[in-house]
Amino acid sequence: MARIDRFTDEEIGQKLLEMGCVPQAEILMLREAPLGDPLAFECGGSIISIRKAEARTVLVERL
Amino acid sequence: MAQTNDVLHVALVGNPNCGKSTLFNALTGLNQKTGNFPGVTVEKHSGKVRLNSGPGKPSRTVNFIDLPGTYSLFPKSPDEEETLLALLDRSQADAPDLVLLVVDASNLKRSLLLATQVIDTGIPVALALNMVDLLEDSGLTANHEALQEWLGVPVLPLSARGKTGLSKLRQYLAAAQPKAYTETAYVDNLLATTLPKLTKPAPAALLEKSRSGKEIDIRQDTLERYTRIEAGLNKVLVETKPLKALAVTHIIDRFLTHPVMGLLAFLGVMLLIFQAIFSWSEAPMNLIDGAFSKASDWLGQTLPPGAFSDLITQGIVPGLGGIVIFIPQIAILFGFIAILEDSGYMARVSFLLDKLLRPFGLNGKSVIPLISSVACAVPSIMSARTIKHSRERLLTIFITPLISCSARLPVYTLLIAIAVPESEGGTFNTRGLILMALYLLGFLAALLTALLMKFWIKTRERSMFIMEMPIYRLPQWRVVLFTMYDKAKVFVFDAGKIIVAISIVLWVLASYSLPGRFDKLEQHYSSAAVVEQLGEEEAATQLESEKLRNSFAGMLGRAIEPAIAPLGFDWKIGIALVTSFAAREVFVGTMATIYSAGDADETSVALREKMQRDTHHLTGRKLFDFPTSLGLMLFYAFAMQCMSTMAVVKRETGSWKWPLLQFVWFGALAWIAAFIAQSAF
Repeated sequence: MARIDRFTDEEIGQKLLEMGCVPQAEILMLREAPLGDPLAFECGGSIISIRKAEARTVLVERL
Repeated sequence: MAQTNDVLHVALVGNPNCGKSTLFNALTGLNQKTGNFPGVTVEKHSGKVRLNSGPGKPSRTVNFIDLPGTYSLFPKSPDEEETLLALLDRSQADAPDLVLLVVDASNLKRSLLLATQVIDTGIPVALALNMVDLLEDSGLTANHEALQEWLGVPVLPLSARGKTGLSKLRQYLAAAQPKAYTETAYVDNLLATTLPKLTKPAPAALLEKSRSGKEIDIRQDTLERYTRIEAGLNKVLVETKPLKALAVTHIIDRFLTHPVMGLLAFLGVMLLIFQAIFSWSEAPMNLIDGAFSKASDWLGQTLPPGAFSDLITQGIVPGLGGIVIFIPQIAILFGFIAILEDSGYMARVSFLLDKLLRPFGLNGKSVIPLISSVACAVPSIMSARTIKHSRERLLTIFITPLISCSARLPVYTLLIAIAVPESEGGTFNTRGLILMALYLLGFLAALLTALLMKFWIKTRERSMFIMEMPIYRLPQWRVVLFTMYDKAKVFVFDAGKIIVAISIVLWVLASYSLPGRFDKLEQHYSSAAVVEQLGEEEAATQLESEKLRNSFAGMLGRAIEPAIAPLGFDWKIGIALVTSFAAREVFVGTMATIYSAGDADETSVALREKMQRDTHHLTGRKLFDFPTSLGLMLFYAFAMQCMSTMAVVKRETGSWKWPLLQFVWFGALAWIAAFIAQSAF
């Protein structure tokens, strides 16, 4: 469980914002795909899949 | 002011997976395919319906337009661009008078981001608050009156799946008098921000308008909207708690997206589909086969002898039988694809395979076009529009036709039945396994092609894979059954028209020749010396096959023969390769026509047996022995023998370069594969 702090990448940040992952929203890591990538998160009531490299651009605060 | 006797154009706009397409189907009854994968709506689908506002009241025609799902009006892929342009390009005849915003009640905050953007464009809006049943299941309610008051637009609660609230929506639309569209400054700003980034040139009128707009700071704009939405939502939702459906989804996903079990489950699903196509369809196929043989016999005995009845009993009936028999398999295949899409499973397959596909220059999202092209490549190629990255999209489009589509199925089935003996007992039969191997080979050729092209086409674009995995929903059986019925119907009528036409042309070409040629043959085979040497029966058989060889069709086939002789193919197969370019399934009808024309035996023996008995005129070997049949199947697996696919690739890539390259490359693969089969076995 973590809380989104900020986005360091313009494009990825905007996409996630529009999908309902706003700063201060809680996110929950669910699982990894085969070979450890991409990842699945729950955020704002939806399940979102995102690659590791993309996830690294999102700074979170561990809860 | 829209008059009640005018057509009211209503565009359906919403997030992916908000139930938009389901609502569209429920309203229009047109039953275009709806899927639970983000972005299944890739074309503009529309349907006209006459709606009545109440007994004795005037009715009006509403034209519903289903637009691709999007999270915002700032497009991030080609399909989302279409939604933006469909709303703002007012020069179109069906520019929407009213936008029906489909909003997922279980995910209101996010849905309202798009909703407020659309409201700000000034196009009249009504809000369909969908999936209220999901909220109720979890003991939640959304106060739609408070929402209506806050947003200032009509709000209609409904469940498109549960079919509740639909009559209220219809009544509303029947009587609605939306204001004429008045442009807002927001539209100019929106155009100024989005048009420079489009993948296609924008309409001139919109470009002109965008000049008076200011660029929007998208991030800032989005955050401000969310702040307003959160403040407003407090009044609308009594409380928020996790949905029951989401908890169920987590449990299923623990298995279906597990790194090991998930992949095994996916393989299991694929295996089940191929086994089902073969074993479930056997009984109905035998029934159809028997019925057509009887009909052909009966017609042969009833019709007066002559050229006309020959055309019917030898050309048209076998040609039709050749396609009707595949209805069970086509229906089962399309049924499974519909279930996979409607349940939300396709997005999981994308998730599972993204990393595995990346080395080939593809994206997890390439999975949807690739899997659906097991049914048909044409819509699959269009569905690649959800892929943003231009090289990933091009590669996906390029390799999609290598996946064996339903039109190859009749070819495979017939040839497997001829060349592969039936196995006894056991769950998996050899025929099913060979079929699966053919699909697998197509898939491997697709990956190999992608890999080669990846190194050839350079790009600096960044690849992204951020995708929503929708909650699982039970497939809507009505939709699945309708898809099966609809696709079988399209298959029979569309392919049927081509097949009947080609059967007739081919029958004529196979029955006639240059003047005098047939007479000479007849004289030769009726001469006393020949009859005595061969016996009466054998002489008649040889005469018929010589006539076919010397007919116009035979000449065509023999012209091609040198190119395909190394593959073990003869001129008869050559004819089929040519006619198959209209559609691959024409192969079966072509064989049926050729073998009934070249047959002295008037009783109808199954096509399969006639083909099994035939020998190659050069080698004397059985023509359809294992190596040649396998080579022919491989040829059909790889070769680009579909005009519709080439046309759609040209449309989607904007250039003839790609379909022509496909034609050459796939043709080379086909020839080499068939040659290897011929030499190795």
